[in-house]
Amino acid sequence: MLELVASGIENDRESDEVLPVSQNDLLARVAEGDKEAFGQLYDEIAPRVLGLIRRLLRDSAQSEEVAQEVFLEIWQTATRYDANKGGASTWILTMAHRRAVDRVRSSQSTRVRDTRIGIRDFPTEYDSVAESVEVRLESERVQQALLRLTELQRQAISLAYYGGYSNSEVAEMLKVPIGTVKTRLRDGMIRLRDELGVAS
Amino acid sequence: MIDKKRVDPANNSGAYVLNALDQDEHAEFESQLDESEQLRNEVTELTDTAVLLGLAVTPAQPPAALKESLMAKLGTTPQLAREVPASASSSTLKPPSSLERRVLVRWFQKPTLVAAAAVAAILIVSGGAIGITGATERIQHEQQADALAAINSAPDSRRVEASVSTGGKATLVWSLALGKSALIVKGLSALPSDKTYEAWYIDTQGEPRRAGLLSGSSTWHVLDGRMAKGDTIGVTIEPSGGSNSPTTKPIVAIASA
Repeated sequence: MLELVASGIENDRESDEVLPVSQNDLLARVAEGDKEAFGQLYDEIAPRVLGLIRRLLRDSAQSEEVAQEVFLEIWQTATRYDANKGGASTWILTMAHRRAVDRVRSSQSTRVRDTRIGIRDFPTEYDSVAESVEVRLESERVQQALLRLTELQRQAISLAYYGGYSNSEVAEMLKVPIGTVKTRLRDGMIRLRDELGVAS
Repeated sequence: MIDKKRVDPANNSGAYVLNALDQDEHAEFESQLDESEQLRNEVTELTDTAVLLGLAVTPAQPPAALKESLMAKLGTTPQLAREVPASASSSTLKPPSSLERRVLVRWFQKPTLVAAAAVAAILIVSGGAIGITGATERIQHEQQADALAAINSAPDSRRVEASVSTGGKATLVWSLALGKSALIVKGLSALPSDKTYEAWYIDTQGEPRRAGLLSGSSTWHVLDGRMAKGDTIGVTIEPSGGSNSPTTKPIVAIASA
């Protein structure tokens, strides 16, 4: 189970200094219809959610739309959240990734239309989020772990997770059979799990 | 290949947590999850690992208006009832019927056929380059795959899909930071042996620059040369070997800005 900060060493200090109320507790209050708790949860995790969605969708307007859908879904389904199955940030980011992938796969026609009528969607400049030392270190740790995968594992995982491509699309791109892609995705994720010290 | 997938459901665990399975496989995998605690444990750990990939992405501060409109919607958005029937998560996700399986199998065989056709096309097109060894080709292919992965995982990577006027689809993926782009094509019409598809960068003044030849049925191509801001990527049909400048009307043009 993951808290927002990946490194176990930092967790306690982080929750004392930055997260006076745990996200799991906030989510429990959201399930009771507590809008203030929802607002607080939003403030804490929305930059992560939007950052991830933008990474997949690129388009600012669409990313914000999907982020809004994700948070409405959090509001609606907080009653079904089971803390025994994982931390709040795991639940939320997993949902955000799935919704972003859904949009990538369904928005082809929209993108074609936008191109045809000549809409130039320059990326909106976002206020940069001050990255804490912890956030940066954690990101570097993941990059380092990715570098320890084989080429094929890394390419397949990047295309699938950050590109939102399905395993058959990844297979076409990397010119390997689908079965191989699946095996590499699994081997690679297991390797990452071990490198990053994730254990349930 | 297809059958093996069924024999060992665990092989899908990585693709599952990365949301890379298609809908039917996703549903099938979830029903398998219900049956195996070992599989559930693996998926829990790999899901946590995938979340770390998500947390490694640079956060983006949403505009204030997003929160305002969201908070305004809460009042009219009902929350789900708390009670969850024990089997709710699995009962709605039935494994595919035998017909669905057959469709699934057919669908999955397609990319293999396309890939096989692509290999054939490359062999025909590169008839003049028979001296290239398999190893060299593999290295070149790996470099191309690397380039494609780099474009896709660049923070500023974008993609746009467009229809090709002579049939099929083309998706442009690009990163201006890298100055690189790739075309992913599906279902392009086969060309006679004396013709080839050629890609062009077309700058904002309408000047074309060569971006490389596309063998007719290969599925993706990292384009030659550097892509500049504002370039439109066009594809024309040219005499085999390519032309120095386009001699026909583009069959697809994708604006990158």
